[in-house]
Amino acid sequence: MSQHKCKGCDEYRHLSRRQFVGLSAGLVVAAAAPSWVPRVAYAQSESSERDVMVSVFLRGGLDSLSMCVPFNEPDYYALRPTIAVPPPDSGQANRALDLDGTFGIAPTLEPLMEPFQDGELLVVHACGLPESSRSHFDAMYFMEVGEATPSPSNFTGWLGRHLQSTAPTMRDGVLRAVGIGYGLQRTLVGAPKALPISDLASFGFTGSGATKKQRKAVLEEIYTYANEPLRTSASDTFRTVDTLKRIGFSGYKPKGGARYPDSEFGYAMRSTAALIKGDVGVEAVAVDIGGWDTHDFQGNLDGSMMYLLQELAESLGAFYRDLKASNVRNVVTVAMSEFGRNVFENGSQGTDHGYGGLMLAMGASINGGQVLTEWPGLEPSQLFEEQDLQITIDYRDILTEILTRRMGNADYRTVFNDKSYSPKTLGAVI
Amino acid sequence: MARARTPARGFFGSERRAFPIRRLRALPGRRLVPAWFIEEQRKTVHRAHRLVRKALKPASNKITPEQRLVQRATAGLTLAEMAEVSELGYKRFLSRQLDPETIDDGGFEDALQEALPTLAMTPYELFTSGDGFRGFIELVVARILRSAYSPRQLFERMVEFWTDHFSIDILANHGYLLKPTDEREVVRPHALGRFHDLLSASAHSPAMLEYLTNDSNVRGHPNENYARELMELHTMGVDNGYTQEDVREVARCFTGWRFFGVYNELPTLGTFKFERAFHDQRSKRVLGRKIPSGRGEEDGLDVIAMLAERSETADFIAYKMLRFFQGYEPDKRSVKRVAAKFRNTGGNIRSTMKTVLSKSMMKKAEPKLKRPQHLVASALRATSADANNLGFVFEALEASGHLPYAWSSPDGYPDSDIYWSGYVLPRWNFAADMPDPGESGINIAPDLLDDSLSPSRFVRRLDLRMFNGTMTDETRVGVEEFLKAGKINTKRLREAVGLALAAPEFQTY
Repeated sequence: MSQHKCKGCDEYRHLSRRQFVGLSAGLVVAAAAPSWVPRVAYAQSESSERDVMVSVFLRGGLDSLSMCVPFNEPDYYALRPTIAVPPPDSGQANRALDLDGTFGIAPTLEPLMEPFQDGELLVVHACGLPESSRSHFDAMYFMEVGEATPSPSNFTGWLGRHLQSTAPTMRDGVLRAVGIGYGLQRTLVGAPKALPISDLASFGFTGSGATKKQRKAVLEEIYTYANEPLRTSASDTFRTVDTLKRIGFSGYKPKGGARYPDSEFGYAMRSTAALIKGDVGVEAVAVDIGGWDTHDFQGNLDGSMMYLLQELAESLGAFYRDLKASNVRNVVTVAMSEFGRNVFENGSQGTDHGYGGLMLAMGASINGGQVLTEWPGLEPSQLFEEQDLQITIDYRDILTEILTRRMGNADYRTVFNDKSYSPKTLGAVI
Repeated sequence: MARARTPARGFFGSERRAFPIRRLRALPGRRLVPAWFIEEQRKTVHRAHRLVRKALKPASNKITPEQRLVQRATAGLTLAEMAEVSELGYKRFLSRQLDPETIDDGGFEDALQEALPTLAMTPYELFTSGDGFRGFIELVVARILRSAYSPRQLFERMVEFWTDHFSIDILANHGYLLKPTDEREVVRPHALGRFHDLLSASAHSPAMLEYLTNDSNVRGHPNENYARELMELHTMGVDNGYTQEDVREVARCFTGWRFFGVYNELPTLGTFKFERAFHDQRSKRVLGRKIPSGRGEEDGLDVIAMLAERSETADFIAYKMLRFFQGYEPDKRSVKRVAAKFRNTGGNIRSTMKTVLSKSMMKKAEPKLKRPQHLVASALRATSADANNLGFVFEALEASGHLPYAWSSPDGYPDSDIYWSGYVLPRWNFAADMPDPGESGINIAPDLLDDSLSPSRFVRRLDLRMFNGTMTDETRVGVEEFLKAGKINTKRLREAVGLALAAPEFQTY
């Protein structure tokens, strides 16, 4: 902390002195952590060994039964007379692609077959957060915080708390996490050095190019005297602008013939690949794809949902190919949604809010090529509240395994502190 | 099916919209705030400028309790308020701001209502107008204009405070039809009134009932959503003197508190109704008190009265008010004092605010980081800007994560510097672009573009006009160096104003 003396500065420094003396900049955010987050001594970083986490949130409530079809279940076809995806051996154009003789994925998910067959894509079925909610907002909140009915004072996200409790992989890295979008995803709230960035390619100073350098220099100078947390945030911002500029997003060329779809999500995944390959110390990226609230006409070949699945699969498939061809193997991508949907279709050929859902995990460290599930069945007596797929796998089990085995987390309780939760090892990670 | 979770399901399919930012961008360049009103405000500031220039000793850049009061009671100080507080004195300035009806607003609100006719519309009128979204658009526009231009500044700050306290996501479900009425009939009439009345109005507000899904809270199938937030967020505070069982019982008290749905297309659309048929009439026990059986709406009314009187509620509201107006970590003694005032006056918000903003409290005030909406309003105020095209403003708010009424969870936008400090770049970019009408469509006052001044005198003017003489030496030197580094013209002066707006002491307050 500068002890530079000037009129008027005292005022603005007061806060810094009181709160932050003796704390390193990296701990600034941690200082605001809820008191129940145990203070963990930073382990010595073994950076390159750790996986980078890309957390994709499918907002709106993914219909897991259309994405990954239990094609041997007569109940599935009975409950969904118009929207069921036909079995792989049906000969129909929209038949499911067989994964393991029991489950098949919707045909528009074809680009995901490559990582699945490579053994690097895991489908976790009948999965979710037990005792969650049917309200989008609550269920997203709970899932991103990582706790059923969390208190409002617990507003940090599971990934945010993970980063808070582990040492950075790059000692002088400026950016540990990025939330692509406006406003940081709840998943990342609490993470040190995390920024919401809507477009990585255009993260920079606006205004006249002729004076940009001069203006930037003035701000850089005056912000060295600002109080915390502004001072650290400002210096991180300057470094981030420079860092991201060096990556050169707009000229980025994917490898392996990967073709990202020309959509917001495709663009976000493309930028994420560039960011990770830029090797600037980013450990986590949160990306959203919305539109899963398929109350009507979701379809089984050309309905709204099938196009969305296609966009998802093409983006994730391109991301997989791009990284594999670039020999970047330390990336794990997870995709989840706030809840699944009713097992039966509604009156408008859609589905309403349900319970058990589905999660994807993809990466070289993932024990993929299988559908991981303790299948609860679809008979009336097997359903949750007589209308939904049960949750037999807590999504936190998958995350715990990844965080502790692949991301240097020493104690899952720094992330999932729900007293009623104790993790089960399901072998999601190799 | 065993349970129809919500009888109104289908009518109220839960969904969240995208913020209609494109429509805000495309707002026609019509005048929202009349030119004569801007002119009047500029004149007042100029008069104050002459006074302050003489009165202010050059080296007195310490923040006085008076300046602190102005900073905290407004959305950004202008010299007009500084002159007023020195003329009236601390107490009378505060009393006046706490009595907004007596403040002549120079025709502002009338002009606003004329420019934005949906502000006065009912949900039914919005629904049948053929463009329900217009109500939303005009409400968010009004939020910015009111905080920037209304002379009833403290009142608008209170509206901001309660909007977050009773947060409703306007993007969820039919918020766009219902929230404008909630603002007009719940938040604004009671913002400085009795807490009990505010709470009761909020509990009867269709916007709140829909947002917290109380329309599906019915006999036999209680939905605890509203009950939980009522205790946790609106009154007692999380885990503070109540049990999970209390939440369940409170939920039963509010069964049948519903409203006329959106698709019945009757003039009652979006108005409250108590439906006895959906009310659980069995007896309940809330916070140790018995609620007798066989009653109706009285159950909920009793709960509201009970909660408004709890000492936990007084403590929680006192803490939040101090955090909002004084500093992020209010000390226990201050909280105790404010809570006592709240209790002793029967939850009189106006009286409580007198304590919150008292001189002794403001002496203890700590610097806070402006939230983006606050930053925008304060920048418009500090530069006496003529802002009619708000498309730019909403792009800036979108980039910095603070679009009005768009926080998705019921706890309201965070009141936290840690949270907001992550968005420095969009704040700087707003500061850089705002003074340039080519970028922003906003015109700052001509006296901030006076190219006849020397760099040091120009910076001195910025210091007086925008900071009441409390600019830091670093900023002063930085902006002056910037001016000296090139030819002085309007363009460079605009950029200098932009740097001042980006300075830490402008971003904080």
